Amino acid sequence: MIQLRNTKYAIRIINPIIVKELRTHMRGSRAFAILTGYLLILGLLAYGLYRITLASVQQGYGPGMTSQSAHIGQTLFIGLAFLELLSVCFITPALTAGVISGEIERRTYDMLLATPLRPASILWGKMVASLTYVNLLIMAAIPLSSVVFLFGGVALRDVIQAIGLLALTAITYGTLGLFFSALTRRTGRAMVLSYLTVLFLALGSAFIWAVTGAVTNQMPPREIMYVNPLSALASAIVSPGASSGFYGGMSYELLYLLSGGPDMMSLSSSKMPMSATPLGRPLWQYTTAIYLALTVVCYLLTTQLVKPVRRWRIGWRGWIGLLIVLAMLAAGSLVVFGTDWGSTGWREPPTPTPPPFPIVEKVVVEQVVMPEPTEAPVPPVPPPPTPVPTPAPVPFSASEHQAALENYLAQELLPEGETGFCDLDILWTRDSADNADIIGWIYCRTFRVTDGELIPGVGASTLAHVPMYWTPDQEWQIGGASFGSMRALAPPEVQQQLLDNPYDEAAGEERLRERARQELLGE
Amino acid sequence: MNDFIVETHNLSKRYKRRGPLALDNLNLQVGRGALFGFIGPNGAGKTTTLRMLAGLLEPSAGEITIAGRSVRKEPRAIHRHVGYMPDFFGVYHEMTAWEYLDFFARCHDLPADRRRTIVPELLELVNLAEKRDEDVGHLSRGMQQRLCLARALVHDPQVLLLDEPASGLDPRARVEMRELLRELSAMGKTIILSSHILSELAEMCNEVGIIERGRMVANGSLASLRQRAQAGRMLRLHVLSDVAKATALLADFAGVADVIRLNGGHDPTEAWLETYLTGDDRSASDLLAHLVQNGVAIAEFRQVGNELEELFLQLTQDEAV
Repeated sequence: MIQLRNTKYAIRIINPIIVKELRTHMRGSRAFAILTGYLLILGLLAYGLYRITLASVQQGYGPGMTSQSAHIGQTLFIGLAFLELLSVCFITPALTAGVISGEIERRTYDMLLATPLRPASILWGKMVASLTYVNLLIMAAIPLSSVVFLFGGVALRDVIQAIGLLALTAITYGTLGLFFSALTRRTGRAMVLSYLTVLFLALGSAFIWAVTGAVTNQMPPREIMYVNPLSALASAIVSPGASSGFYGGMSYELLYLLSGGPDMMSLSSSKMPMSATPLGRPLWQYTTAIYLALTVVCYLLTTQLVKPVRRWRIGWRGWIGLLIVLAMLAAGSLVVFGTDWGSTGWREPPTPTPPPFPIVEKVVVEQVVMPEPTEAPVPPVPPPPTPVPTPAPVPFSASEHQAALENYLAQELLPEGETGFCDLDILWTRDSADNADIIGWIYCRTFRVTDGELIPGVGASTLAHVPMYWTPDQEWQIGGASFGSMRALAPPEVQQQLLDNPYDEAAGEERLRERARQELLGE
Repeated sequence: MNDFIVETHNLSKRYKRRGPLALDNLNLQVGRGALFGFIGPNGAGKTTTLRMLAGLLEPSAGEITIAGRSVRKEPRAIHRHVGYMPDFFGVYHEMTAWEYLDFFARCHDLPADRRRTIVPELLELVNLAEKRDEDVGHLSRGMQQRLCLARALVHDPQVLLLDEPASGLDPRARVEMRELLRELSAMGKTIILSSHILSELAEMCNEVGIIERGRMVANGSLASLRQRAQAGRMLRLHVLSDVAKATALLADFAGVADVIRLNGGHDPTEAWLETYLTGDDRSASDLLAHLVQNGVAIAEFRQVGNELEELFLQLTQDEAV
């Protein structure tokens, strides 16, 4: 049996505090009421999302779409993951901010300190006990979340990443709560400070990011979003290329914004020589590193704050522990950031072409007007039960539709009231009897004409899937554009092909400017 | 090897740098098995001293030795020798009495079999055996205080530090607490307790330290303190015969300051007299014997007011001047 209890020097894993806290935490009906309520809410939300997604998927696609189920799965998964993240943000500080200060306020702290129990063990016990409860909530939701596998469209890796990020966020915010609890020694103040910090990390950073963008009229530095748990989760679970579209009431624009815009997405960014500095790594990796460091720093500071005497005097054990922790952090960041892990090869573009003019990046898809989800799900193609023999579809040819597609995308994607163009680089098509799928890179940019000069505005690029269908009017129609279904739709070799063929943005940029010159300046 | 289990040497404490001294060069020596009482007004430094003795507060200067170990050098080692009971009893809610003791026994690293025996034993000792499964928060104040004392005893410490153990208790609970402390003292524990109520300590302590504004004003057994202060006492007599003779006898007795007839009137056969006698218990008994031998009928002979109260006032007054 593993000897957990009688280690003389190490902090014991199972210590009296944990036994006591768990005993009293789970006593009474409160703990079970919270757990039950939490799971009920998650369940209701999942059901609601399922119905809405089902309705809008049926509305948005022609019959015979194979990826409906995958869309539902993705939407459910993303919805559940974000709801869990929000619960973690709200519950964790409440559980930990009163932990040390509560003992002080109840006058039990002196009694604890008068025992041979080390202050560090008290802290450890308190932390493990409160985080156990938060993690119990996270784990309890796993069976519910696993429903998404019935629908598909979600990779196991995404689920593991999501759970990992949730647990890390819980641990980090829990440690923050403990730190403030030990620092202020008052539960009220600790609670306020913890919630303010969490609010700042989750919303404040996004706000600063947005304001920076608005003020400088440039793509704001994505470093601001490193501390944001929402963008981290978004970058970890939203499929590469997912950027727009409206499925089941889930706004991908939100996720898109949170995950840091076009060049923040893991796949697209690592492929694109958008700017001189490659921004390859997905946000969540930075967030993980920062949160780990924050946790360690807060925890170490708290170990000093909980001591009644000899604060800030660190013994040899402390120094060794500190060195080990620092070495682990260093090794961890070396593994993550030193080697080119995770990106399927960010390669230096053969000719690093500096942008001919300052490229102004902005999320354009925010303002795309999408079909209202409240409309009754009317299938765009009512199966005609007419005895008239339907004419056989003309074989589909993507190139015939290139111009139509580009116009359609420009209409859909560009902000209202702006002039601009979209370039569609078709990578793969699939054609069946009466419907077809196109996957390709889309690059859009707005333009203005001032004093006879062409001024480029905002622009963005993304991978997209465009379904086509054969109408009763005997022509191919565009069924919409979606940005989240690549993984579900394309066969693996196509996905590899997408990865291996980065969009040549410089060429796309040139094509768009050429079109803009012709159409706007009449050259 | 001396026989003092708790010793402090020039112990001082300042809560703020350049702030006033909360404790000023306290030199304290408590013998093994003593029942030592700390007396002083609120804010005199009693709690400060006890917290430093318990290793919960860092002295600004000076040394503390408990059971031969320096608190400064081994701040954690003394926790095994010392049981500390703070002036306010901290309650964990949703915890039963036995869980409460079991928790602190775990904190003291007691093995499971030891815990299984010590918890019922302690509950028995503090008369809470039948409250074993009751929520700690629902116990009465006196019971909580006794439970808290039991908690301080889980690791069988040699020294018990009790901060105001009788505060907030009703008279009955106070008597129970006193009996409990006597019992513990008889078991050989060294007990250091603090109080601002002197009569409470006078009843049970064999040694007393009077502390005032962070300074130890007097220290020693009650008898020696009394002597040192040369305390006198106010005596009240109920005389049932020959008032004039009794008055004369009293006035002539060595150490008697003056004699007052309390109830007025001129009944020569019955009177309440009050007199101030300087001297110890011996001279009081001599005075009574003297009166009785001379044929004075005495119905009542008692001390008025609290000797300690006066002693205390006298000692602290000196200090204030």
